[in-house]
Amino acid sequence: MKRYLIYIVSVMSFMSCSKDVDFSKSVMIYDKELTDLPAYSEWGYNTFGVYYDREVLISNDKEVPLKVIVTNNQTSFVFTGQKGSYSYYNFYYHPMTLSLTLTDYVPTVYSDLLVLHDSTINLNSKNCKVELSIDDTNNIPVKVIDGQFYFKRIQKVKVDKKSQELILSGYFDFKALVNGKPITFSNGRFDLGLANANFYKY
Amino acid sequence: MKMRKILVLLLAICLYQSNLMAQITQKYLNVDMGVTGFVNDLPDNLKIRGDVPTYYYGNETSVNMVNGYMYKQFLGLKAEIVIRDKFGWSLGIRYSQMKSSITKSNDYSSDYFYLVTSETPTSTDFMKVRNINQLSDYVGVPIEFRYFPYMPRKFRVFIKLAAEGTILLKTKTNVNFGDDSMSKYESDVTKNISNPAKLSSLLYGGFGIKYGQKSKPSVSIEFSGPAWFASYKSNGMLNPIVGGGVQVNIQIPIGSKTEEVIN
Repeated sequence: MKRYLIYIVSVMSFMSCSKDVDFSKSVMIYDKELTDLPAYSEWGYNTFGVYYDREVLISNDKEVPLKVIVTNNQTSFVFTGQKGSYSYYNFYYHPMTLSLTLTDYVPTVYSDLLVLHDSTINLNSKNCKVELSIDDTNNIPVKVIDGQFYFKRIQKVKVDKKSQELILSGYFDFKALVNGKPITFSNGRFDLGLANANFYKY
Repeated sequence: MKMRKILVLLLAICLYQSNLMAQITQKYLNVDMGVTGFVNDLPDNLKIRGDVPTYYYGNETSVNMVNGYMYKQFLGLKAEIVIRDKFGWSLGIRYSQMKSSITKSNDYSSDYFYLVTSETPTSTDFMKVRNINQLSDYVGVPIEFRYFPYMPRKFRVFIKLAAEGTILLKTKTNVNFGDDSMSKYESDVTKNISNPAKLSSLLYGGFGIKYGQKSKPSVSIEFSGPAWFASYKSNGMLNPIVGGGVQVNIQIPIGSKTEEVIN
């Protein structure tokens, strides 16, 4: 009996700490002009998208769109989605990851990222590194020629008076040499939730 | 502006009537009741998080699936004078109740929506809300003009042009939360909800059928609409665009009079 009571209390305490399920889902609302990309928003829709020359790198329902990994005195923002839009004629799934790593920036908890509100990161700076993975090819070297990453708004969200997550919203654009080939990443935008579940520090 | 044009039109008809060489009048007491629903907009100050991706419906569809419902029900008493069996004028008093409601309306996600209750550049507070209801009571003075194109018979069709000025008696906003224990924070939600204005006016047209003999009790049923509020943003938490409904009149003759007027 005591054991069951412990189980019930454990399950209840887990539920009370869990993130609101609606905020974990992705809500893809397409841009009315750039119809392959999600519209820019600040609602925590867990979407991102960017033109990769004329292709698209876009979030999907399968992958966690953002993971923030803090390790070895650096912080990586890992955006995972797919190459190509999800349309009925696009049969082949190409997972694609874009990661932005900042050295000498080590947040202790996810809510520390609030300091990045309304800040711009020059992707060409020496403490910034961009990497790409497409299909099974990991860590494709990306040499940024020019570009920036703008955290337009970072907001701390409460639902029913309880802390829920941070919402990171912003834009990015850059030109880079990917495997020595010039590529333009344009009209990038993101609206992503960050909580304990997708913040890793080790 | 629209209100002014209608009033000028009503006045012109009135003057025309007063200049008739001969007037034959029939007086009635009308009990009227009805309901009018309004197509409406959600106000801009209510920020609701969408939760339905556009690929379910295409890019043109609303994504938050939260709808506003707005209707008015009323009961009143009017005195009517029918001149030359064709033109009916009535003036009365009417009690009406307006119910406005904002509620979730899709089966694709939870039965509550996320409403922003406060916001700064770096923080946003949401509350899970199932629905918000606002109930407002009014007393009003309707003035109506009816035109009967055909001479008296058992069934008579008519068209109507009318206006109603109303005074707000009381209003109450009620919030049903996703989590019932949040009800103590109701004021966090209601502070963002507009209350109706003290005074408002409604313009409406209509057409209908009257059943009954000329000098006996009769009943008329009519489609009442289109109906417009003179002010779009003074009607509480929702903004009505246009309305339509049904009105029933029970008409009791209270005496007839024939008079000659020489200009």
